[in-house]
Amino acid sequence: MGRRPHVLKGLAGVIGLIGFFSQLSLAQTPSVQFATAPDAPIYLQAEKISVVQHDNRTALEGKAVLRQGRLSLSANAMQVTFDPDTGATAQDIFATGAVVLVDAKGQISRAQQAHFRVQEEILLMRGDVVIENQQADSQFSSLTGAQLQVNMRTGQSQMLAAENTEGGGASGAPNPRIRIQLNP
Amino acid sequence: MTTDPRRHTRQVALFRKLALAFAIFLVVVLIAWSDPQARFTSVLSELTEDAQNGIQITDPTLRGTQANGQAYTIRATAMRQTSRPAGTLEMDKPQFEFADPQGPLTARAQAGSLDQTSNQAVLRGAVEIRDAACNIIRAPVLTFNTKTGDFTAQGPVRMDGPSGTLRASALKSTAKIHVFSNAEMTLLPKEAR
Repeated sequence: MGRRPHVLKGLAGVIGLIGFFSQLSLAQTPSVQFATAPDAPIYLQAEKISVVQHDNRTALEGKAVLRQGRLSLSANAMQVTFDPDTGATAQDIFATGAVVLVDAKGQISRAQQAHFRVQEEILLMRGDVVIENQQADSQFSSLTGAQLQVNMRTGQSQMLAAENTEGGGASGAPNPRIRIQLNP
Repeated sequence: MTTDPRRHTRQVALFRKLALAFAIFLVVVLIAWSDPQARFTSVLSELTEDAQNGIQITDPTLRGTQANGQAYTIRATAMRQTSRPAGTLEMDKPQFEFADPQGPLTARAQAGSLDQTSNQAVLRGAVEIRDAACNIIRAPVLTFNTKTGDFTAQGPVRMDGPSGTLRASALKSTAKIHVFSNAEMTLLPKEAR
């Protein structure tokens, strides 16, 4: 009977540790909210848009920009693929080279490439992903990782580390882990 | 019966004069025929005289073959030959039909011209192209090569299709690809399709 307080103290300590590490885990992958507009039309702009006939794909070259609501995705080039059966429904939009995602809140995300799965409403950014948060009340100023996945329906996102840590980041630098720079 | 020894000589001389006159007549007819400003009476029932534009053909149909062997047809409500450049036909409400393996391609406009030498057709005014993929391309001016099927469009170009709308400042198209310059494409949201 006399050992029960010690057991309770130990249990409380374990629970406290679990809570601490769970908070630490959350801090490593903070939930970044994007201002999306999933029901708005998608506008694509470029210096040159090539529609390949009977191939269900369209290529954008030169200052390619995608806008949906107040969300903007720019890149050196993009490619849109359509449903091969109907040719009407956009399925995938691939962006390559100097990809920049800017939302209405002024949150800027940079990557080397992006893949917008239009029907699934998922945007995946890959390659040295950096989110720069310019909001004064934000918890962090920058977030770095290998992949950023944005749910375009809810606006919620998830930063992921590189799956293969041996090769480092996409640029070759050892950057396997997610890095966060907190605001003081 | 005395025979005139020069009779045969005179007949030959007369024949020569007639032959010369006939040759001159033929030359005059050819020159007159080649002059679009010349006035002719009705040659065929479908030909009418137009003092300003030369001969006009109503509801003509021209058929040709592209370099790839596919046939094309040109129809118009009226067609007339113009003096400059030579060999150019002006058309009212022309309609081009190209037989494409993927389906027919049609182009129509308010007016147009066809240079038979260079195989270049220029369509003007509310130009509209429809392809087998249900795309409709609209432009104010469009230049067609009837041999290759390639075309270019200037001015505000718009393409409406099943997936949305594409606007551009210019279009250059071949049998395989449409290339739009300074373009903006709108993909309709799910609910609008």
